[in-house]
Amino acid sequence: MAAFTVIDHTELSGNAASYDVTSIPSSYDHLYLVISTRTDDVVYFDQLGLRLNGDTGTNYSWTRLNAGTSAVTSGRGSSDTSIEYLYGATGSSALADTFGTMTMWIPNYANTSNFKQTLHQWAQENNSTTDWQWFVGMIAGLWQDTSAVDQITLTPLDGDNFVQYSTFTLYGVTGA
Amino acid sequence: MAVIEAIETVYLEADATSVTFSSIPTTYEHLQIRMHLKSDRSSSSVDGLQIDFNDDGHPSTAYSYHWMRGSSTTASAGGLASGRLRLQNMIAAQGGVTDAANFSTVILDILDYRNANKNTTVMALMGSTGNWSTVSFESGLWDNTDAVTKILLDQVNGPNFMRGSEFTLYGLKSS
Repeated sequence: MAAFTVIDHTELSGNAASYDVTSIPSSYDHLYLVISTRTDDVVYFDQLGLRLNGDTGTNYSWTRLNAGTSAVTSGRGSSDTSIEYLYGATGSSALADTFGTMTMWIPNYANTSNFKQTLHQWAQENNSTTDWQWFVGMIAGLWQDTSAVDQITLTPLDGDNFVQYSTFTLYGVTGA
Repeated sequence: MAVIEAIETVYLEADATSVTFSSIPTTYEHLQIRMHLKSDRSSSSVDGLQIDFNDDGHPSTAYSYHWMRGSSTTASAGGLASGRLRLQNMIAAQGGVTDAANFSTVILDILDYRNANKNTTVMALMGSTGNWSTVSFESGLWDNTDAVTKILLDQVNGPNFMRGSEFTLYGLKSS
């Protein structure tokens, strides 16, 4: 049996306020999401929020490690309404045609005993070394809920839109 | 059919100045290169891993890169704009000072490599422990929207990848 299966692949043909995939089957062991996105917000890099199963409650926490200057910093947030600080998208101030990159793992997404942990890596490239015109980092996220994950929603948190050609590929990963 | 396929593996039976993946199919959505490698640079225990796409090499200034790293007990970050694409922190021989059996590990993602509406961007995790002890997360940009059909890997100083280095290019499908 194949270890990886494509659950969804979306390339935007126009602007979209969010990426939302529903009815995710519970037949895999892990989920792996790869995104290449840009938003129309007038910033160099844009923050995305991740919600699972449409939960809008204050059930999310996150811990970050990142750099946008010569200093590497870390921090955390808790009791948020989404897993935040996911700088997975470039904004309209970044070099034209340049899209942000982010990968995300959700291990054991279908089990109903444990809270759901997520792990993200993201990079906002730009042809600049000026502070805060580039950004790289990683995030550990937590959804304090034991439900099986059947919906993933990624939304730019400043109310802007993903732009055309942004892509999202969701894989189901199977163990032996 | 498998969603992730190994396109090519290069294992160096002898030192080599560079490694090239050419005629890369456009049938995948993303690419990943997994590397276990080492430079023969004699004057230092660290070297840079330089990447050229589609023969856009010297004197191109179409590349930028950034990184954050923990090197021994110190964390730092930086980058370069409008130059060559150079990932930091590849372990080097340092004239035999570095343990001969010690190589660096790199996982490099190249997303949407054939999308003609996007510049090519990469993310990499890189690590080694020994004379040069570093773990880094790095990114790169090629300011060009052409589909990537050729990838050349070499060293900033080198002049060789050492015997025993291994490079595998994978393709990830989206349907």
